[in-house]
Order: sequence, then C-alpha cells, then structure tokens
Amino acid sequence: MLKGKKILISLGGTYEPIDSVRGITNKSSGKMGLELAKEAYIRGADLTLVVAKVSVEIPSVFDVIHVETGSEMNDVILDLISDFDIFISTAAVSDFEFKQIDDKKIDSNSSLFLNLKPTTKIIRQVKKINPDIFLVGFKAEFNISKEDIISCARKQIEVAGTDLVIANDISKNECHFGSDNNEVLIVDDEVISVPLASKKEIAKKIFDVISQKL
Amino acid sequence: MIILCVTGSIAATESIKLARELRRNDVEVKCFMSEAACEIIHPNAMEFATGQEVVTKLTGKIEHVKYSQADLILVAPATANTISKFAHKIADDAISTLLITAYGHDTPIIFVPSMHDSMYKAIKENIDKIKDEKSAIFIKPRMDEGKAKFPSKEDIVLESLRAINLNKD
Repeated sequence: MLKGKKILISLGGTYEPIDSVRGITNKSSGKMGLELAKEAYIRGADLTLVVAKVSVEIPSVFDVIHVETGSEMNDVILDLISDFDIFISTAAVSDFEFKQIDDKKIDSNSSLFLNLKPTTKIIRQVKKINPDIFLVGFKAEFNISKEDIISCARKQIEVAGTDLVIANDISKNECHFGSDNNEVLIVDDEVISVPLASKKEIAKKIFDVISQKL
Repeated sequence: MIILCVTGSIAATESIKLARELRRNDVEVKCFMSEAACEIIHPNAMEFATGQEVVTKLTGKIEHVKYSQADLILVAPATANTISKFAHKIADDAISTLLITAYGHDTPIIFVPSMHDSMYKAIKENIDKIKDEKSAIFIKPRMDEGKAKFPSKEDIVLESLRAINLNKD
C-alpha cells in the first residue's frame, strides 16, 4: 500500500552552465518521472517532486522543487531524503560539471577547450543518509545485450544499495530518451521483463512491484 | 463509478471533455445536471460524453439514493448556489439532494468552484464551514490572466482518482 507513504521523485535532465548563456544538458524529457508521480498521487502517496529541465507540463496539484544543475539537485535531495519512505531517481543527472564557469559570454572567435570533472553520484549518497529508505534507480544503457543490462543494474544495487533498478536499452525503437513508450526490466534478485508499453502502464507496473516489496 | 454533477456555470462547457477524460482513465461516469446547467449545455452532450442517461430531476427511481454510494461525487463546475446549499444541508433539487444523501453515507465529495471572484468572496464562510467539517474537498481554480479559471482536466482527474483510493480501506 502506498497510501500515506512519503515519496520523493526526481525527474528531467540537469543543465550545467558553461558561461552565462550556454550549457550542456541531455535529452531527458521527464515523462517517465511524471507518469510515476501521477500514479503515486492517485494511489494516495504524499508526494514531492524535484524537477530539472523537462518537456512536459507538471500538474499544479504537485509539490515541486525546481532545480537546474546536478549539484543543486544533489543538495535538495540529500537535504530532504531523511524524511522520505521511498525515493525514485528518474532524473538524468549530468555525469560531468565544469571546473570553472565563465560568468560572461565566452568569445566565439577562437577555439575552445572545456575542462570537465565527474560529478558526485546522488544515488550513492542516499542510503548513507537514510538506510531505511526504499531506493529505486533507473539505468539507461545504449545497445547492449539483456544480460549486460542486468549486470549493469545489479552493479548499481551493489554500489548504491538500490532496492530496485528499472533498466532499459535506449537504442531500441520507441525506447529512446523522450519517447512516450518504453520496454524495461525491473531488477532486484529477480528480473521482471515489461514488454513495450506506455510509460503510464510501466509506472503502474513499477508501483505494483514496489507495493509488494515494501 | 463517479457521479459528475454539472451546475450552472459557463464552465459547464468543460464538463463534456472532463467526462471523456475520466472515462479514458477507465472510470464509469454518471451525470446529474441542474436546471441552470441545462440552460448552458444540453443534457444530450453529457449523455454522449458519459454513454449514460443524464439525471436532471428526481423520479420514482429515487436517483439521489441509488447513486449516493458511488466511489465519488464530483461537482464540476460547482456554483456558489450549490456549494452554499450543501454547507447548510439544503436539498431542493436533484444535485443538492444527492449531495446530502452522499454526505450521510460518507461518500467522498469534490467541489470544483467556478464563479466570479466577488461571489467566491461572498460565500467564503460557507466554503470554510465545509472545509472545517471535512465533508468535501475543494479543487482550487487555476490562476491565469489574473482570473480564476476552471482547473486543468488532468488536475481534476488526478484529485478524483486519489480521493477514491484514499477512501478505500
């Protein structure tokens, strides 16, 4: 039962500024996170969303915290996480950030080298702060075998202590970032295969599985 | 099953699409319409949208009792008149009678208020009374162009499905 459970969901793609007008981001749309949010809300959960750049409209009934960069998302999530029963991390957080951000607009007449450093993985911090939280991660891989996807998912479980990983291959037709449908594997000790379905249907399936595991 | 009660606001024109949206979420919808609502949209439109006959007055079928224990009573749009009558448990037409019968059965009720700002202020006391006794939920209007507008259908559907689940054991 999800009724009254406190659920935090992160969604969208982060934006890392290069200078005052440019930045790097990714193709995450926030669609999967939004469908999970709707389903959680319908099932009676007490819901909070941490939203980066999305291409969907967020219903006004939701409690939303807007963030831009991966580090802002990191701060907000780690600050809130001890109050929640479930955290579902669907956001595509940049794996890199800039060592130095130019506060002006970089001149475009000469060639440019950007110096990137890896960011902290938010998902790996969560269980250190709240060991009792039910942690759900997403793992998007490109064009690899089912066995390899499962082993990537299990690696996240090992490293971050994730309770459930939703893994998918974004190279498949209709399963790319921003698509309306997806085909996923729900991985823990077992593997549940969810064939191509709308993200709404996948959200229902994910919460059916979470409800059983709680 | 959701009982969609349509009362006499221009936002009654939105109820047609709202009924379709609820049905798209696998919900059966039965519609009650007030006399004032029938002046704004024809009951045929709601009959088409719900796929069921519309109740516009009570008959020997005791519709107010028959539908009082549905999963949810959704009053959208809800006028100042309908809300105020419910606040004081007055039953003088099909919808107000259904509402107090549902209230007696602890059936969840949602109001989507839709009226001019000045009317909203005028009935604030009645809205507060309902909120205090927790006899119904209100969905706030969407603020746009400085006006209180009918909320998005998506918000109404989300709140409706949630209210149904929260009422289950």
